[in-house]
Amino acid sequence: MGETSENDNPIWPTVIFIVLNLLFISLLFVGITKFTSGAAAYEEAYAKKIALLIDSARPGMTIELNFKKPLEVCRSNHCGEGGALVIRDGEVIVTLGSSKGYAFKFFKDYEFSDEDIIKNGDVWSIKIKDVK
Amino acid sequence: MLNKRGEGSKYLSVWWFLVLIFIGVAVFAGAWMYFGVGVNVKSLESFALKENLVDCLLNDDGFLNLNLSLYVFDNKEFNIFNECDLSESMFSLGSPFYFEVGIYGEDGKELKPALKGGDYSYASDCVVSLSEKITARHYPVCADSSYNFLYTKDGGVFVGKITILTASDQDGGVKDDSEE
Repeated sequence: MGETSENDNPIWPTVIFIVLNLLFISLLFVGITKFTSGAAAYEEAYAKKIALLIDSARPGMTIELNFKKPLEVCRSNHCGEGGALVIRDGEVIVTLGSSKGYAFKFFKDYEFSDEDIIKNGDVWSIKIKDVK
Repeated sequence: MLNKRGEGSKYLSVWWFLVLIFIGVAVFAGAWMYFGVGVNVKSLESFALKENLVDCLLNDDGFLNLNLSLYVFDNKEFNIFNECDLSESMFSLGSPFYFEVGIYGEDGKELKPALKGGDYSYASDCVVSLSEKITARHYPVCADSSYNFLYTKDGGVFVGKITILTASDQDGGVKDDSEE
């Protein structure tokens, strides 16, 4: 038996092969996780949820939302929390970091101003005004 | 005896990396197709619209809403959008919503022409989707119900029927800057 260098050791190609495969699987996992839990998914879910709540609400009601998760997503994307939720022209627009945000229409004839969205920490409230 | 160098090059060949890239692209394409579809809330919207109409057109005592009753039996003016707090602009041409309210007397005859709003083409789509239970992405989802109501005429009390059909085909999407 002669001397063998590290490169001649039959274990190394296998180790490198396993390490590269693990690296690939990790990258795939991280990429998929980021893709499926990114800002766009939360924007869509919250815009639709809020629009449906408005459609089902009656004048005088106040809708309370736990906005913790969207705010976390917004902060991680360095977006402005003030513009995270805008309700205007019959549309709920949620912007948590994607370039344009997600808009969803509601069919009720309610009007909202900035004062109707009350931001109290992670709990945000939407006031439904009396229309008549 | 294995050729050690040959074994290593077999593992780390360019072909293996091509296989990895192919797997990665396939997984991302699958995830994009699955998660890119979005959450479909059309059925919830059409149901919410129907419930809104029921709440505002029918009283708890079984009679019609006063203004609707005056419209049906005394030919007074009636604006369903004002009465039910619905946004008239949201039910204009190209609207993603539709509703149709039919009011029938005890003999089954229409007491007044149906009250309608939104995209009228959804009426025929609803006939298909409700009977065939079709679910397609770019197809409205409909909800329909009928309710009995009481009305008085010539000193007698009769039982009429009100039918409500609603539809939603709203997908939602990225905010359109051109509207600003």
